[in-house]
Amino acid sequence: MSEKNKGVIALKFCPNCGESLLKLNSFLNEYWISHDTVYFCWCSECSWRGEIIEIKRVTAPELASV
Amino acid sequence: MLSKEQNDQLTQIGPGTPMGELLRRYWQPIAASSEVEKIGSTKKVKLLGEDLVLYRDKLNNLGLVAERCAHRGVSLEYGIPEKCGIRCQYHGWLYNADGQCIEQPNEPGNSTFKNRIKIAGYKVKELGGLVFAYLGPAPAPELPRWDLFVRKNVIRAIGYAIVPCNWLQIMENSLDPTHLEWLHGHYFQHVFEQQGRPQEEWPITKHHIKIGFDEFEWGIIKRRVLEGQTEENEDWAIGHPIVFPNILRVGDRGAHSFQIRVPMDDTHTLHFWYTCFIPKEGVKVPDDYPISLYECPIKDENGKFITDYIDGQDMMAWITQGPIADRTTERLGTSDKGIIMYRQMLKRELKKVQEGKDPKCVIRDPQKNECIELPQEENKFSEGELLTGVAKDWNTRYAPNLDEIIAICRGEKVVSSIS
Repeated sequence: MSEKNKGVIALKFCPNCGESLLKLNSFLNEYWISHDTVYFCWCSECSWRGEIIEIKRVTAPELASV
Repeated sequence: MLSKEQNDQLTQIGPGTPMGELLRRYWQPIAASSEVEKIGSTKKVKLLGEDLVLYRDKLNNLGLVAERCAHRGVSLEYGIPEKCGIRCQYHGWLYNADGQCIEQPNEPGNSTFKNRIKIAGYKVKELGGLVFAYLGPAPAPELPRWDLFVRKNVIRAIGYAIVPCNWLQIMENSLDPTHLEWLHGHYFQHVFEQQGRPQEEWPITKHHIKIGFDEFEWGIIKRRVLEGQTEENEDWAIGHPIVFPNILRVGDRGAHSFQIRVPMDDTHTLHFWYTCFIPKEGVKVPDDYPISLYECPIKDENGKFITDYIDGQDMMAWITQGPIADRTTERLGTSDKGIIMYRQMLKRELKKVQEGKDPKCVIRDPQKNECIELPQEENKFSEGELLTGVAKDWNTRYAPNLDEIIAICRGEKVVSSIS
């Protein structure tokens, strides 16, 4: 991670109410699932809590075998 | 990864900071009762960024005031506890338990100067062999009577260390179940190998199949399924709690314990290991059996971390992250979801305090506080009395009376060697 990008999180707004998630009262925690970047969000304005996954590659689950 | 602003907010605990205000809503242990047992004794303590002096006055009451006399800044650690407060050893100014100056022997008799002199003074209470302080706004809530503090027929032992790092990275360790199989499993085997001890004697290396976290009334229940287990096993079905905001409960059938992380300042944490040893069925513990107090060492004589006991391994992991872990560079994965959940819970409770509400685990109803039972698995890792079996490989190995405790709990006749 470059010094420039330390602590810089790409997501900015609550998907539920549109309030800024960068306000100190709210919570935004970036983590990783395999090659996907995940944003764990909690909006202090509307209390929405959820995760947003930034997709690098679109994959489908394995299909059930017959 | 967190932003720098988020990391600062969660880790800074001094007066006036949001996290400091949240933590001030809770009674915090500051000493063992045995340290200030004697009338006239004093102890310097640091809590939430404030330098304080704990003392026992001549009426056998405990007091807690700011360390420095308002007159010339002398430390009251060397003050003289009297009937109703502590007197400065330098010029005799006397402060009551609220920190109000009530005597200035060398000022004119009719002077009102003393009325304008006040230092900080805080409430203190004793429970279960610990002294607790409350630094928050009045009225103080109930001092929580968590089950281990009030349980009968157990032997208590209190270990402590001043850990030179921020409190949050210590708490996050408790929301991270998988470190068990590595730090206390494979790494322990490595240490055994280095020491020439048989590695196969160590039971904590099973792989985690599943971990889970559930919020409950008093915090978060942490659960795990290890290789060879199912969800029927107690490690998942019962789990053990993180009591919000800064206590871990852990144990097995033979020993239940709290790990209490008390923030002294942003880069130091007073850590207590509060253990209740449970005697075998039918064994009665002597009523007056003393609570031993012991220090858990962090480093050896060469300045290296002591890593051949579980809690020493934990301390190495906490401290080597730095005085305050830099979360702007961390790379969390799916196994770190408990840590993320805990951080978000802290943020939610910060908001409650900012709105003037009581946060989680602030108890106002005395009836609810008679004895608060906490869930905890007893058949740990499907190994039964695992922790008791390895008592010499965790912090209790430094208890001066460990062999005696184990003998009493087994029902053997012993002549106590400690007073």
